[in-house]
Amino acid sequence: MSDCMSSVQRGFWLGIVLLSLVPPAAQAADSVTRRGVSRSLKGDVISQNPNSITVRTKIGIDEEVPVNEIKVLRFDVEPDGLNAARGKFLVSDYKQVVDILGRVNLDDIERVIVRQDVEYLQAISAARLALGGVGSSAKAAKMMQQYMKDYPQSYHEYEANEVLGDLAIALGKPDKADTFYQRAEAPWPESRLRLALSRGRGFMAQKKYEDAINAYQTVLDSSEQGPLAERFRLAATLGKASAMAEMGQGQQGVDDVKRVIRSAEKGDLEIHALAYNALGNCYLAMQQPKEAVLQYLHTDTLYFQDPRTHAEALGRLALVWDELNQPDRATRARKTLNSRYPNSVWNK
Amino acid sequence: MSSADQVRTARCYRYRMCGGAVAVWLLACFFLFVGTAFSAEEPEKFLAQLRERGYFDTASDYLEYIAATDLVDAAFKESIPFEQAVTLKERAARSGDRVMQEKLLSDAVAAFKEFAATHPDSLRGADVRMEVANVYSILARLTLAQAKREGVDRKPVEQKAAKYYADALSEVLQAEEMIQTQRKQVRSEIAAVRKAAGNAKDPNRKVGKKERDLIELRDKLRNDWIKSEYTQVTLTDRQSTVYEKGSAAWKTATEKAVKAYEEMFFKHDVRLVGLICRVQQMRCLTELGRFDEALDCLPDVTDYEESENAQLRKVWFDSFVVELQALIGKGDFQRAVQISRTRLNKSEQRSPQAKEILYLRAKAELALVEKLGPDKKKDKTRLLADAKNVLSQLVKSRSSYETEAAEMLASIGVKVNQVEEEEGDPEDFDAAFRKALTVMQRWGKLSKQVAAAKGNEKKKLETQLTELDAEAFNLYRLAISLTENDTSAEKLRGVQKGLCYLYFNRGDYLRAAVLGEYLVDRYPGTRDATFGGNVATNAWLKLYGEAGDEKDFEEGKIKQLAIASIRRDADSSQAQAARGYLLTFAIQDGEVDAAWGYLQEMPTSTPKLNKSQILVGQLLWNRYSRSRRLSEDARPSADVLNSDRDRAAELLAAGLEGYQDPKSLDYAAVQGAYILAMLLLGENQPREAIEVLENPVYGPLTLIKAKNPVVLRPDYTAKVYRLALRAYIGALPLFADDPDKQDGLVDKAFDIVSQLEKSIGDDGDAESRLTKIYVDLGKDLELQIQGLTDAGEDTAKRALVDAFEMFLGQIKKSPAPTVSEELAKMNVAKADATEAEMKTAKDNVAKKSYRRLIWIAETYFTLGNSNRESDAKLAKAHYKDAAKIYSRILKDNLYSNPRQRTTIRLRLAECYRGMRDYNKALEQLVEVLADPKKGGNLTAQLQAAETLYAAGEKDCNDYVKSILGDEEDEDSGKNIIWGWKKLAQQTSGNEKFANYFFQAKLYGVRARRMYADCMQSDDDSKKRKLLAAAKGNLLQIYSQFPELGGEEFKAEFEAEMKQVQAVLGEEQVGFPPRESGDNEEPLAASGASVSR
Repeated sequence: MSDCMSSVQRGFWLGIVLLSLVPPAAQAADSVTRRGVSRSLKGDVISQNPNSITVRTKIGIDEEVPVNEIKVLRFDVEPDGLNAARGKFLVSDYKQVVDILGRVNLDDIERVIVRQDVEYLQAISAARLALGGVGSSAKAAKMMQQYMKDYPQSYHEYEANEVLGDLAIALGKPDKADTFYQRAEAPWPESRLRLALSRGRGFMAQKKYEDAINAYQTVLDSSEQGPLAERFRLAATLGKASAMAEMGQGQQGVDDVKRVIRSAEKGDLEIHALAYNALGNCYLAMQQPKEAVLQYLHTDTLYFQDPRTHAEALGRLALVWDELNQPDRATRARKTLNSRYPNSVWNK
Repeated sequence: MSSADQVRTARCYRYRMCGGAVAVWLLACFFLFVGTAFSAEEPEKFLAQLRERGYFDTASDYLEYIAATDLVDAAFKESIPFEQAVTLKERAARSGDRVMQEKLLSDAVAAFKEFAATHPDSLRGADVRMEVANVYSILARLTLAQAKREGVDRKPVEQKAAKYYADALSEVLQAEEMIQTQRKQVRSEIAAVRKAAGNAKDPNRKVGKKERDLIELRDKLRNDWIKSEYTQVTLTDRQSTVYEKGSAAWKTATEKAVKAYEEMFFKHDVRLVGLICRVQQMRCLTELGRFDEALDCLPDVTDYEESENAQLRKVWFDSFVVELQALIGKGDFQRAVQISRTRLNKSEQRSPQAKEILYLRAKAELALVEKLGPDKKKDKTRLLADAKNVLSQLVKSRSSYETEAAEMLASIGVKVNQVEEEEGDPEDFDAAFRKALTVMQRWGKLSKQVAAAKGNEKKKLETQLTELDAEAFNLYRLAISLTENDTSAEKLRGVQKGLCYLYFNRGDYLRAAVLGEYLVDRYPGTRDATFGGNVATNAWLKLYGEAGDEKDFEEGKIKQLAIASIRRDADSSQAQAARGYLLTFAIQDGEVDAAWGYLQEMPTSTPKLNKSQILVGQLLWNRYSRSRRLSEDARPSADVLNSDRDRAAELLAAGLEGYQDPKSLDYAAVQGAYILAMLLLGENQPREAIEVLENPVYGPLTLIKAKNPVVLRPDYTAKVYRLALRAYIGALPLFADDPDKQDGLVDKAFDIVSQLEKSIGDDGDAESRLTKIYVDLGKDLELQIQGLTDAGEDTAKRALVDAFEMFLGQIKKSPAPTVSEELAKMNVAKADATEAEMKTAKDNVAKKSYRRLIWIAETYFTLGNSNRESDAKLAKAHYKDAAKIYSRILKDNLYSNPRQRTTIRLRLAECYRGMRDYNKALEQLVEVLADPKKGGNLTAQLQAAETLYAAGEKDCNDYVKSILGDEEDEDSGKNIIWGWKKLAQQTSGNEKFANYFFQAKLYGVRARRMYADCMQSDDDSKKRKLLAAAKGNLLQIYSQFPELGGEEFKAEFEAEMKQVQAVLGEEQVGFPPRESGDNEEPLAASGASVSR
């Protein structure tokens, strides 16, 4: 599906952007929590570039932390609401993020890197909303481009480019998307997988299903190890299943998606939403609308947090309910889609 | 604990119970809890969501789907039947259709029980019992709701509801038993675990996980036990609702509830449930009028007035309401007013739950005003002012006490406008919709008032109702015009519904029907579709009633809606009504098999089912009678015939069973009784036939004697008398050894003859009517005898013939009327009689003689007909007797009407034909037809052609004459007897004579075949030519009239075609199948098509 990769990328980048809900430490300092390391690194973030940030510790040693290792970054002094906004971002409540940060006066923020993170959260939330059908994709892209222009050395550079690629696809400009995706390619190994997923999503949006399958297959064939790589592979499995379903091959996908459902973490709402949508698509391809509707309903009732997958489930539900001669339920799905995701591609 | 957690816990328990081994159980639980990190589906949550949305069908589909996957664990799969049952129960709760609800709930009970039976060791056994008890309780409430309907007999409904409550109680008792067993087991397992740990008495010991889980289970079971106890008490209380409030049975049941609540309170007085029971006890005591006892319970709950615990505060609040009721009940209005004012703070007064307190406060205040003396004027004014204020608040806030409050305000002279109108014209859809709803609410209330009002008040209210109707209608129309792209689909549907209803109400049935059908098509499976279907059906029924002769379109629409309704939900009440419509149309259109089919699907509780049974019984009987009269070749098999007859008998008897109240009798019933008697007589059961005829409630003879208006219909009396006459005479052989009984029957038969003669009157046409009655009687008797012959019951047939001969003998023996007798009746001596008096006396004698002789002649004639095939000699003797009497009537000019002469002459000709004296028969016929005025007498012409056809057996050429005619008129050169050919020509194109036409056509062909068969020729080609022409003739008729003159003739034509094909040596396939496009021949069977 077109948006099946977003969750995976977000999972990765969330570690960098959103970090922690832990209350501020008693000792005043910036704090970086790294993946696989239990103790956080405390000090001042003194520089950044797309590949890493540099933290000067209390004893005056500069430590460089690669972006892909950053799990949590919080600042010594933060505006009210930033921590809460991070929390909302974590549960995909982008609307709340935008609302909370809308009340923050940027002029009151002294440190550039803090202001930069607030603006980034605003831009990426607007982009996620737009990709889910809330708000304008063009405006969101403009906002993100402005961010990149204002902060050319931002450690969010790669993710920002990736989101711009997604927005370009949403705006019907796949060629431009590829340019952004190329710019999103980071030097660490899992980046290749993440971008393959993005490209797969792009091909899906353009209905180039064979190309999409190839893109997903590169992820599945990769030898990268670790939880992130595993998650990418789950996402690739779902993307491939959906692509095959679009080509009329549902049966194989059903088994693969069920395997994903069985192995996904219970709290991973995004993978579940993607999985049930993919399963629904497979059943649709197999001309089994009754089974398909059950899967989309899973997303609609239990895993509705991500706008893109929810919008897709609603759009599909509206069509399948019609097919099942349940116009009332179809109307309900359309109504929800229309009210929550007015600009979604599924609403057209 | 959330429901999902409870389910999960229960699933854990099940493992434990199966094996009885704690280790296994704990292991299972362990995996379940560990599984929360990586688990596949979340079926409980998903099901809860589907049910919450009302997607019960999808929930059911999901359970079927998930059972076949590995996305849920075995424990959940085991519980699938339980979940299906829960789905059914919850679906029932959302269904607006009572019949549907009952069915779903019954299905749920069956599903729960099946689960219990297939999972005997499941810990959910108790849950199942509780669920079943809950369903029974709902069924009881549904049943009781029926009792409120007008005209419903309360007694059986009460019994049914009481049974449901008793069953519910029984289930809960069993649930408690299971819970107690489980509690015992868990307690012993806890003790075992503690013992194994070896430190049970150490207060600081560390409690292991195993023990913690068991303690959790123990606590849950304790809660389940208390819940089951509380449910038992509430069910005991509910049982009182079965009876009419205030009745002795109600009192006994409520007393029982008081006791049960009290016991529960004392058992659990430290628990919330105990306090709740105490308050319920107070309520029951108040209802019983034991106000002081109710108030005595207060100290147990009063302390909780200050509680910050919401549940305890609620207990107090409920007790406060009952306290006020009790105080008002015992007449302590002062105290009621006092506490109602002081105990609620302002915020509480605004809460919805406090409305009842406010209402009771106003009630107490008004009662106190009545009670206070004239010296308390100031207090009264203050109380009234407060009551008005409180009641006005209740009206304004549109609380559930709005109506009562308005009535109380009205009682103290305050006029209330209950609805505050929105100012100005609505400017958008929502405003128009909202306003329309408000107006419709007023409309609903007003229409109830109209129903209750009388006289001028009624007229006034009706005018207001019409105004509201117009207002709501305009608002709905306005709302439609204000619809936008984002208008709520739900509200729009509300507007469509409202308009649909109002169109119907205004008598604009066509629009109501169209809109109703739109709702059906657009929102299938919803209540709105059901509503639309109901309105559309009723609208089409109205239009059907208003339509003229052409009602096919309306009928088609009603049928279409009915079939769709059955297809949608075969068990709904709409489907039942739909079957009723389809049945009615099937009966009306004579579609026997369809009617039988629909009738089989009607539940026994269908109103007026007995009438439908009788009507379908009649249809079956009619088909049976019609089929029996067909020629042997065309007649259906004996099995088919007997099936129709037996079904008719069964339905008629069952239908008449339902008519035990003489006031409920209608024409269907009396007609059914007549047919059933006729059927029984045909089955040689005259005694049973007489029982039906003389039945004290619906017996036709009983009703005729009582001059019941239902039987005062033309011909009914005559046909019943004919039938009774046959029955009485037919019963004579049954009492061969009992002369008294026989005499009684003969007397009854004579009485019937006498009644018959009286019933025909005394005018100029009386003789014709009487003749017709006897002719019809003869036909009936002939058919009866034919039936016995067909059934091979020769003895019975002989006995019947003998009985009639015996009866005729009795008539013959009775003294003939004389002129002297007549003069004596006129009080005139013969010697003194004037010429006119003599003429009157002679005329009377002739009249009486005619009436006596015509009956004898007709009966002999019938006996002749009946024996013609089986006993030619006997038949000839009977014909001879008949001919003798007909000749005497002619000779003595006993008839007064000249038309009778022709009738009797034709009868005489028939007798001669029966005696196979064709020449004499033709002489009589020619004599009739030679009269220029009678030449066109179709009956005589038909009879003449038939006679020539019959004469063919002696002279082959007569077959030809039957076709071409005979007896050339010397003056005109034309044949006096037309023959089949001319008969067909003369009747062609006239619907009235369609039967003559088709018979002439049929016999024209038949005569040709018969001639080919008997002609003296060695030239086979000539015969084949004749037969080929006969076949061509048949095909031509078929091509021109595909319906071949209707059912009876069609069978005859088919049979004839096969005969011709047989003699031609061809395969007997009958007529070729009609090609598509040929079937537009709706008038083929009627005479109208003949003209084309």
